[in-house]
Amino acid sequence: MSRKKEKKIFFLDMGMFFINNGMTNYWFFVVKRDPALCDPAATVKRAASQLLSYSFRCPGRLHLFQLCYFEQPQLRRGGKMTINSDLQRLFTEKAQAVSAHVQVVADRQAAFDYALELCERRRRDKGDAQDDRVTIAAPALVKEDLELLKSLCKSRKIQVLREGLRDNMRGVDLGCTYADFGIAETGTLVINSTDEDLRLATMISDIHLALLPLSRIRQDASSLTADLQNVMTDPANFTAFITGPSRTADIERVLAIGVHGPLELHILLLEDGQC
Amino acid sequence: MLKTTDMKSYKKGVQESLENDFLRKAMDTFAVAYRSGRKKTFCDFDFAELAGDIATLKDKAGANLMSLYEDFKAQAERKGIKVHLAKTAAEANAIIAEIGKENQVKKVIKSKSMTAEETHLNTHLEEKGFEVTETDLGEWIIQLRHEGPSHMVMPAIHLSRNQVADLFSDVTGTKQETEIERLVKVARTELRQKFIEADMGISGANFAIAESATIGLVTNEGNARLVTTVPPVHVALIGLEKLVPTLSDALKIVKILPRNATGQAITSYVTWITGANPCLFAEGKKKIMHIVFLDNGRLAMSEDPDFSQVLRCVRCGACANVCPVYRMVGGHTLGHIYIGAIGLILTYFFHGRDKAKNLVQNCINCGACKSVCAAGIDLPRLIKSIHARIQDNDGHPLQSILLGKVLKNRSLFHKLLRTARVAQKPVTGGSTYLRHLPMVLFKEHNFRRLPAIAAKPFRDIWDEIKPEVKDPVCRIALFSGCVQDFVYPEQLQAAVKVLAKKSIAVEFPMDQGCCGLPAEMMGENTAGKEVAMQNVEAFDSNIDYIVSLCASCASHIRHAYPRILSDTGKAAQATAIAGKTMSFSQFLKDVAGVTSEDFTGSNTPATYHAPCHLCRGMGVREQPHSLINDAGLSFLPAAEEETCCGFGGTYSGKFPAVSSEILNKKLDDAVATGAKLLLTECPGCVLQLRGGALMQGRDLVVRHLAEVLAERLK
Repeated sequence: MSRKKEKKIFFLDMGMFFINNGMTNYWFFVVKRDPALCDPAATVKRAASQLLSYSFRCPGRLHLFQLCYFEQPQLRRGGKMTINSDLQRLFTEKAQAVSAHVQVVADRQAAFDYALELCERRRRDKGDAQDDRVTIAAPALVKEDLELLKSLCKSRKIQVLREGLRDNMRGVDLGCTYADFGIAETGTLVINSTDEDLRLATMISDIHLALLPLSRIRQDASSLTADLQNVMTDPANFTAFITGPSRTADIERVLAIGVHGPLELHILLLEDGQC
Repeated sequence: MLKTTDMKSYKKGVQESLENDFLRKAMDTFAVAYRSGRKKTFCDFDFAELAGDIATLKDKAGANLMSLYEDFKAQAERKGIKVHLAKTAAEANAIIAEIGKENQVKKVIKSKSMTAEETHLNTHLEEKGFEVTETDLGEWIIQLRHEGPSHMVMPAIHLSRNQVADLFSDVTGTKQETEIERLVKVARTELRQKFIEADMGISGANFAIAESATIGLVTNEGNARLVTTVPPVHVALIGLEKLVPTLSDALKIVKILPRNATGQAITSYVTWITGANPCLFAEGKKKIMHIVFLDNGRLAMSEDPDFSQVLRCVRCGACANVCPVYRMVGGHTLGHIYIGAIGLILTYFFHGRDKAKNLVQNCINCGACKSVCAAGIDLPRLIKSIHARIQDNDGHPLQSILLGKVLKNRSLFHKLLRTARVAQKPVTGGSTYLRHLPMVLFKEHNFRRLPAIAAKPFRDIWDEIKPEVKDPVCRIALFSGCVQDFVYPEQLQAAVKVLAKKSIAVEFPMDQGCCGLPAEMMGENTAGKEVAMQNVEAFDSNIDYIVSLCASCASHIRHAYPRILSDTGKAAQATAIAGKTMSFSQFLKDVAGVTSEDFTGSNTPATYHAPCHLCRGMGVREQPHSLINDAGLSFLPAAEEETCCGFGGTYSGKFPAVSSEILNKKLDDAVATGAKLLLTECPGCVLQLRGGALMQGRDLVVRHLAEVLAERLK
C-alpha cells in the first residue's frame, strides 16, 4: 500500500529528534522523563523506533509531538493521548503473526482514509467494468463517524450499509466495526456483537476493518473476566474473540486463509477517543 | 469408524493403513511439525502448571455435574433457552429431530461437534427426512465421502488434495483444480448458499458456563458463527462434561486448548453465546434456542473412582498427535469415533466393549500421550485398565492366563526360561540369536533378530562376580528385570563393574522376579499384583537405593507399585521402595557422582535413544547425555530421540507390523546422525533396536549405556 513509506529517525540530541517519511518531518520533543530511568538515551531510542510503526497525521502545518517517557514509555500529543506501548507492541506483534494487518492511526479521518484505500483496492481486484460498486457495512458506527464515512464515500461509488445485512448474505466488500477490547497476549479483538447486523458484518465481509482504541488493549483474556462476566449477565449476549482472518488447515494441513469468514482482517489502533 | 469387531480383521485394517503411502507421509510430517509448533507456543508458559490447573478445575466440575447442570438450566431458562438432558445418544437424537419437526425445519446446517459424531446425529436426522450439511471444511469433506473423522481436530487429515479436488469436481459438476486455496474457496461458495437456505443450525460447544448459561465455541473457520447466527433455530448438543462453573474456568481452558491442539496461541474465533440472541429472521426477532446436554454414561463415569478423570478431557487431540501408533495407522484404525489414546477409552464407554476390545490392545504404552495431555489424564494406565476390565468380562484368552500364571510363580517362570535355553539350540545354531525360527509360522515377527536366552542367567553368575567393596559409600540392590537376567546378563555385569569402581556395595536379591508390567499389559492385573508383592518382599528395607538398568521396570516400580499395593498390608513398604528406585544413569550422576575423570577412550561418535519409560516415565533426560559425554564419546543427538522404538514389550508380539514400522523410523534417525554406535538404557529397546539393525544389515552397533561405560573405565 502507498501508505507504507520508508521512515527514518534522525536524532539531534536525546531530547529532540525527527522522523522523516520521505515527504514530511515529524518533530518530537522529550518533555518529561522518569528520573529513576537508568538509561534514558536507550529508552528514547526504543520509544522512537516504536514510533516508526505509527501513521502520523497532524491537523495543523506544524508536525510537532511531545514525547513523555517513563518506565513504560508514553507518547502524548495535545495532552489527549496515552499509550502503553509495551502492550501495543505485543498486541501488534501477535496480531501480525496471525496475518492481521495492524496500523496506528491518529484519528477517525485517517481510519476512514484507510478504509477507502481498501475499497479502491477491492474495486481494482474485482475488475468488473459493468458493476464497479463497492459496499461497506458499518452497522455499529456512532452517528458522527457514520456521517464522516458517508461523506467520504459519496463521490466514490461506495455504498454504506447500516442495516439489512441479511439481504447481502453472499458477502459485502468491507465491514467496518469498532472493537471493545484488544488482548495483547494473542493479538485478539473482543467485539460485543449482540446486534445481528454487527455480528453479520464481522462474518460475511470479505475484509473486516476494526477500530481499536489503544487504551483498550489488555494484557490477557483473564484481565477481561469482570467486563465479560458483566455483559454475560444480560438476557442475551454474543461476544466474539477474533484473532486474525478466518482460516483452515483441513486439507493436508496446509494453512489457507478465508474459509467462511473474512479473507483479511485490518486493525487500526486509534490514538484518540473511545469507541 | 471401525466396521469389524474381530481381531483378525482389525489387524487387516492396521495392515492396510500401514500400506497407505499418502497417509504415512502426511502423518510423519504432521507428527514432526506438531511437536515443534507445540513447543514454540508453550515457550512462555509452564505447561505442567496449566495442565494441573485444568485437572483441578475439571475434577471439581466433574464431581458436581448435576448441580452445575441445574444452575445452567435455571439461568438459561431465565434467558429464554430451552434446556434438555438426554440420557442416551438415541434420546439426544430424538430430541433434536423433534425440535426440527416443531419448527417445520427442512434444511439443517451443522458446525463441527464430536458429540454429534458420538450420537451419529446426522444419520438419525437424515432418516427422519432432514437435509443435513456439515459446514466445517474437513467435516463436509468426510460427510460427502460417507466417512467418519480420522482426527478430532482435523477430521480429513487422511485425505490428499487430489482426493478432495476429485470429490469437489463431483459435487460442483465442474472440474476443480488441486490448488488448496482454490478448493477452500469452492467450499466457501458452495456452503454459503447452504447457510442462506438453512432452517436450523446445530453446533457443539467447548464450554457450558453455569454461572451465566453461556456456551463457548473454539473454532477457526468461522462456520460455527454462521451456524449459530443465520438460521432462526439454534440447537447446541453438549456433553455434560463441558459444564464449568465460571467464565474464568473456561478462559483457563482457552489458554491451553488451541495451543495443545494445533500449536495456535488461540483459534481465529472464540465465541461466547449467552441467551436467545436477536435474530431478525425469526418470529419475534429472537433466536429459538435449545441446548441438549448429553449424558450417555458420563454421570456414571463421574462416580467411578478410576475413570472420573476421563471427564477432564477437553478434546484437543494432542494424545493422538504424539502417539507413535496413531502416526503409523491413522485415526480410522486407532479409534472408532473418538481418536487416539482418549479415543480408546471413550470408545469403551460410549460405543461399547465390542468396539473397544481390539483398540485398547493397540497401545504401545510409551506414555507420550500422558506427557502432553492438557488435563494430566493418566491415559496409558486407563487403557490398560479397560483392557483388564474387558478380559474380566469376556474371559481371558488362554495365552494371557498362562502368562499370568507363569509370571506369578517365579521358580516356574525361571525354570521355563532355563528349559527354553536348551530347547532353543536347534534355532540358535550356537549363536546368541534365534536364527532358524520356522518363519512360515512367524512371518510377520521376522522384522528383527530375536536374541537367544543366555548360557547362564545373571542370577547364576552373581556369586562368582560379586565384587568386594571396602568402605562402601552406599548400599544398593539391583533390580534386573527378566530380560537382563536371562538374555543380557552382560549388561548387568558391566553395571556392577562401574558401581564397584565408585565404591558402591551392590546386592542382588534372589527372590526378585518379573516386575509385573507385562502382566498388566496383557490385562492380567491379579498376576501383576502378586509379583509386585513378591518383589516388595524380596527387597531388604536397609538398602539405600534400588537401581535398575531397565527403564520399564524402574518406572513400573516407581509409579505403579504404590497404587497396585495400596489396599494390601505392603502399602507402606511399596511406597518406600518406589521412592528408592532409580535408573542406572540417574544413580550414577545424581548419587554416585560419576564424572569424566572416571573414564578414558577415543571420541567415537555415538547417538542415543531415550527409552519411553526413562525420559517420560522416570523423567530422566539429561543424565544419559552427560554420561555419554563423560565417557569421552562424541555425542550426536538423533532426531526424535524421545519417540518410542516400537518395542512396547508384549505389544511388539501382538502388532509386529506396527512395531516394525516404528522401528524403521527410529533406525533411520539413528543412522542419519552418522554415528555407528547407538546407545540406550533399557534392555527392551536394545532387543528391538539391535535385532532390527542386524536384520536390516544396518551399519549400527546397539549397546546398553552400561556396557560402554564399563569398557571405558579408567
